[in-house]
Amino acid sequence: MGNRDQKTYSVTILLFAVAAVMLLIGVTRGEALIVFTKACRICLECIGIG
Amino acid sequence: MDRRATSGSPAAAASCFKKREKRRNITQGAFACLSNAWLPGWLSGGTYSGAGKYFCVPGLSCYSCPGALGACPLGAFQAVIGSRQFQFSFYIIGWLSLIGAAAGRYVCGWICPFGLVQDLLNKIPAIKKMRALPGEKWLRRLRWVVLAGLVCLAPLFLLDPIGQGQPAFCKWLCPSGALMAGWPLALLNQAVRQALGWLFAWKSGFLITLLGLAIFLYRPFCRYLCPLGLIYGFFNRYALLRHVHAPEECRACDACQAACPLSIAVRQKPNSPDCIRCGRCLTACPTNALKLIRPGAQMVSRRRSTD
Repeated sequence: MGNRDQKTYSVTILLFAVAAVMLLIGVTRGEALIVFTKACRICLECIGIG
Repeated sequence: MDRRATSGSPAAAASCFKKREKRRNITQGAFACLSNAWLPGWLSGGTYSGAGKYFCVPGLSCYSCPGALGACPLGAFQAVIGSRQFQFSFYIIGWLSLIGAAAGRYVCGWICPFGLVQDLLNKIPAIKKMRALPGEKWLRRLRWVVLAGLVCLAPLFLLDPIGQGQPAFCKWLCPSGALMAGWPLALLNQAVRQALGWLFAWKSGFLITLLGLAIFLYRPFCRYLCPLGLIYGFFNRYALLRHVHAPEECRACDACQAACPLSIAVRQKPNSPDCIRCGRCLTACPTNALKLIRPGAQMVSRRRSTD
């Protein structure tokens, strides 16, 4: 694996780490519950009622 | 193992392309069925309300589809930033980063249900297929307008009387919502049917136009309007699944660019943010200079013996 590949993989790993931290922050702030509440009901905007 | 399409006869090349496309369409279909597999919803015209709705699906798949088992990432993002509590969603950006870092726009090419619909429509024989629309370069920038204006700013600033933001992308534009939720619920649910009005007509008209255009032009929504593809495009270069071009093996024949339905200069930009990872360039390359890299098995595409 070349230097360039190693750098790219480092960025990939960093992206995974940032993603995991963001998910954790989101869950602790209660965002997942908002997503769940919205997704469980029929979204009137999505289907074109308003 | 990938077969090099141009290393054999034209018939063998066509067969290679067909096999790859078939495999891709089957994968797309499987994901579409899997993420919309809530049978009671399809029978009653309701929606699933189980724990799966805490999680986002990777592609553009409406959570109000009667069969939806997960949440649409764009709808969820607008719901969070449009709520009174939050102006930013760590949760959804985290999801998108996780999926993007793993696969980039392989989601667009191999998973997204609305991508599958456009792919199938483009297989319909037409008198003249178009490679691009006039003003292609500028039209592609519309995705930025959609992402910034409809997905990010409108939910923050267009508020209803109780302070909830408008999910403007879902409301005004999302063709997946009209196709996967609007039309099925209008058929299955009488209360929904009675409430339909001009907004439904607008969304249906827009959807029909887009579907009609998809017959002549490859993936018009993904090219010009899809904000989700724009986001995943940022990750193409750094995703675990990405492409690499080996100049020492390249004959500069540009078979890759000729095979690309989005006319990307593949040699120069193997990980272009516009690339939806359909993989036609990998199949078209006669010297195996283009490869798919994934961790553990770096060079997935192998050279086929030409003798």
